[in-house]
Amino acid sequence: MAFQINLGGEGEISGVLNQQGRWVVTAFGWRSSQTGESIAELVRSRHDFLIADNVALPLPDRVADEVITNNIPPVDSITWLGPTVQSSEIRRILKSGGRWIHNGVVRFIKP
Amino acid sequence: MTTFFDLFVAHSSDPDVRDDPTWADRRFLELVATSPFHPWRPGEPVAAKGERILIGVATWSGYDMRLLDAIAEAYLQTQVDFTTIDVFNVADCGTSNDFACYYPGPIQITQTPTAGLWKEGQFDSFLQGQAARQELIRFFDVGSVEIVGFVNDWIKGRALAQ
Repeated sequence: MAFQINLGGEGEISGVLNQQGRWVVTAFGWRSSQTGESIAELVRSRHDFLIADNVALPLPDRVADEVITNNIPPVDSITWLGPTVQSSEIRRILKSGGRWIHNGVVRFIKP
Repeated sequence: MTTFFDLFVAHSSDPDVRDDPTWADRRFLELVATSPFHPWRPGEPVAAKGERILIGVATWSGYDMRLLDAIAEAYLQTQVDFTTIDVFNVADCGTSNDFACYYPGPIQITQTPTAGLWKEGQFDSFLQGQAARQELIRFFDVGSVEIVGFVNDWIKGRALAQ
């Protein structure tokens, strides 16, 4: 089974939390932009969350078959919420042959 | 009308511009200049008459870009001349404190779009994220436009095409 990691910004499927300031990460306080669901509601609907530093992803090398980034602030930059996802980290966690898909477009395939 | 959404599409996939960190911000200003929106900057006067809405959007959000297209279309069709629509790019805010130049009060911005309402020159209310999107859709009566579905379908379509 493919290991897919969604680093998307506004939760096109799973209400992803990436790029949200840590102060909003509470079970009932934060609501996703897209659907308005709370974290508690998303967990109940069987979504898994990994709340972590987005600059240094707490994942081993070459673990992911696919990394998805949809509607996220530009990678390798800084917004008012802090540093954004690092492309080097995406490349690091991808398996050989793994794909980084940005807004539905393949942006990188790991050799 | 997909003027603003086309910006999102180009920045998502066009290799000539996607790695240019300032292209989307420059293009956004060009598009606003040809839209019914006014590009508002801190320090500029606020409309003293009627209703004024200040919308903050992220160019990297397909949802925000599609929302602007929908509002522009509705605005042009209805000619709601008693409402001023000011817009800005949240990329102009380097820190959360910078938003204080756009919206009064202790507001912590965590999501886009952001939307503030002024009535007769007086600040009235503020919303952000999904709540702001829903209120703007209601205000401009663009309920038939499925903002989120439009963006999601586009992304899924691109993914399936590869």
